Amino acid sequence: MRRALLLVLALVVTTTSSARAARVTITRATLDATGQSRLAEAIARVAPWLNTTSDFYTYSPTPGGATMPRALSWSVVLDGAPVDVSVFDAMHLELVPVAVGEIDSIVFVSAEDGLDGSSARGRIELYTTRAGSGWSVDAALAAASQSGDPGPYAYTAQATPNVDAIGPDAALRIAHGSRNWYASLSGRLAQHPFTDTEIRERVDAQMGALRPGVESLPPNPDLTSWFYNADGPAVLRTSATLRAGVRSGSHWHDATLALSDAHHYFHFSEAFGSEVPTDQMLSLASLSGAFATGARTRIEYSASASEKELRDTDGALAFDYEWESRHAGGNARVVHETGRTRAHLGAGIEQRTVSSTDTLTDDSDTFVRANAGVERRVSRSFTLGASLASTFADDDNAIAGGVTSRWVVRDADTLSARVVYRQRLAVEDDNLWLWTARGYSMLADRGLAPTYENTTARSGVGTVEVAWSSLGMLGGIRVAGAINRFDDATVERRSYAFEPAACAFESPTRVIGGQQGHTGMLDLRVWHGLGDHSRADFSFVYLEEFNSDADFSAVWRSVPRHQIRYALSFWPLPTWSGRVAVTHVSSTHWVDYETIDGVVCLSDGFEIPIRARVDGVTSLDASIRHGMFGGRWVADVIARNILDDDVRYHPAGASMSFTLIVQLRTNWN
Amino acid sequence: MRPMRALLFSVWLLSAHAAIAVAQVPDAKRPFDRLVVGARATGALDRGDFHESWEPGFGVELDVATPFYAGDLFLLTRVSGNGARDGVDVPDLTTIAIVAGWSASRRIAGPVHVGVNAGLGITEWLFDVDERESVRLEMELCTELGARVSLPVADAWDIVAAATWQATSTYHRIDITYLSLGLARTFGAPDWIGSVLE
Repeated sequence: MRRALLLVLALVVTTTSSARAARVTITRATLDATGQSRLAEAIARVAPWLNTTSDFYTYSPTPGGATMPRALSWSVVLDGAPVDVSVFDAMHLELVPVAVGEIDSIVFVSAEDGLDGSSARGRIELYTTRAGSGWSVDAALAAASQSGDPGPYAYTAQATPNVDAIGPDAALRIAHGSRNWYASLSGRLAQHPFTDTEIRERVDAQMGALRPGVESLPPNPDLTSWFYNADGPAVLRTSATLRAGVRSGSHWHDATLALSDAHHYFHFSEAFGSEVPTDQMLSLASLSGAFATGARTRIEYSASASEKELRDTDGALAFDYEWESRHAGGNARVVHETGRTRAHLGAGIEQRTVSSTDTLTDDSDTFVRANAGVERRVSRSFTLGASLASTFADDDNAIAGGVTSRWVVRDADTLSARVVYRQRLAVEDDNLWLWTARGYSMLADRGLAPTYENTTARSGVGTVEVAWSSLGMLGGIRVAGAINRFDDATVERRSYAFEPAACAFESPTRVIGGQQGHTGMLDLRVWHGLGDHSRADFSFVYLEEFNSDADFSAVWRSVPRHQIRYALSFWPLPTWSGRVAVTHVSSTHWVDYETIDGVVCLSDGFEIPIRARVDGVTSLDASIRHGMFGGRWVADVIARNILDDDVRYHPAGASMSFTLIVQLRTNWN
Repeated sequence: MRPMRALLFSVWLLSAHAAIAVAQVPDAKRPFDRLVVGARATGALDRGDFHESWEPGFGVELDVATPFYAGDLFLLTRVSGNGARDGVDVPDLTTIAIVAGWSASRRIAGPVHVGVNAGLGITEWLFDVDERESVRLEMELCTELGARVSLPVADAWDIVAAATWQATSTYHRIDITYLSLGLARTFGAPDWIGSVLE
């Protein structure tokens, strides 16, 4: 019994929070319990951040309430090196060249203080598993079926369109390693159809261009396929990654070479009021690691170079991008640790260069960053820290600084607080507005040229966060509260007009800077054991916007106010485990859609009303996992939205119905 | 959550609690030590929207169950034919349901056992038309809740009567209640089944 309780405690400690209040670490075990095969899906299931998605493929979080909704001011870091997965106004998380099965841990960082050398206001750090000794082969195959097909009614007057299967997704890794080195080659494939009825209507015209002479999409039954159908609106994601590492003393040096390709990614863009199809190719090379320079001192470093190309592979997409974005950079920092003190001093440089057929007023930016910090345990139970960081670009600079404290009240109780202020240069936002202002004409060519009002060279966010955590024999609790103050924030506002023929929306965008506002967040997590073989996790995230400028306030209404989740995990046997989770996400209101509230999209015989308000949703998910043949084979069966509620998070977005996912994994070592 | 959904969910919860309560009572079975193979004749009881276009046909249920650590695991296949109603322009079809799930039973009086079961699977419809496969075949997810009564009639043989409510998650949901009657035979399970399932 005592052993089981200790196991529960160990799980709790590793899956909830590190000592730094703004970091939440998710381990391999928790990822395994979700059973998800896709990165964005897995992250959405475990992230402490509120999320809205228009298609159940694109992940759009608001890290810690400290980034503007759907902003690109958060970043993705793979094994210490940044990965550029932005595409104008979306982050294509699935483009990261890693499979869920390769991930050892995920760290969610919000209200960061610049210690990492970047200026992102939220960060997802992915750490992959280094291959163990000898040869190993890992493989996974997953497929999902979403309910809602017509069934026999296909032959009656009640016929409805078919709903495409999701996947199959597959991953394979072959690795060889020893105590001091490893190398692995991995590949990943994912397919996702964007065929929700409403989306299908919008992409119809664009997809017509894929097949010259054919004016509309083929009927849905022809789209239904277990394998990729290039004629349908579906993304085909493939990647190949070579990783290798060597150990030097107690540190590792890891290198990654990767190619990641997304064929026909249809993501909904508010700026275009419709799905934007892109072919994306990401090439990435990175090196990261650390080496000791003394008993108490080490140097940590990372360097990476990437090239991201937006293109029209088969000359059929309705958008002519001609867009290449190259990033190159490196960071290094010296870390010195004694029994009571930890100090660091770091510097980095990043260069971003863009190529386009348009003549840009400025196609290259160089950012130089410096950061320093110290953390000292001033008494047996009290730790204080301070940090300072700065980013320089041309004639501008932005600063960040923070003070942190941690008080171990008792062995099991910790109270922490942090005050952070971060500035970010406008030119660091690698988004559509920056490049349109510099001459990129894609929006203007479609009559959607934006207007800019009160834009500023930099914005700032100040955060005050207090967190308390307590561990007991049967469980624990963590409560964190934060207030964020935004200065000179930029928001996007539109007044959509409706195009009934395409079920699309159209409005030029007003890019409004100089906005001030506040958000407050409450994050409550409670977990407890339920006997020797089960545990329950309760989480409640509440966000409130207050005392803000009108446009700032309007934009934040599109973020759910609260999310409640209760998950019950059980493992009656070593080879059998399961999870049941109930999640409620509150309603949202999308002010930009108020001008068309109540219009009806006619698609495939359906009448779909467009509403500015998206109702709150409650979903019940359940999964069962079974290990076979000594754990070499694992089967997951995941039922999502068992109650078949109308789960959607966006006025123009897809609706997810009852979905069954089956996944088979194998590991040979 | 709509009232109907809430009601259905309540039924699920009640069934699950009843099943768990039944399964709490210890019995002499060891996990995976036997297979119970059943064959039953079955027919649809109700007359919903589906049956406005197709005659409710008769069919057969075949299932295999094996003891689990609590209750039993089962795999069921149900095949039934549905002819088009006179005057309705739809093709005849064969319905195939493949369902995996969990069940629990308990002796209540003398040799009579009662049990409950819940399962998840797919329903396939094979249409009697001369078309390509994507039009001849439709399939969708289904869930089932059921109850059954069994009575031993000879060594290792039982008579089984079952009632099963099946909900298939097509856009217009299809709810059908099946009644079935047949025999079940208990065998010793080969070791490899235990190896896989453990």
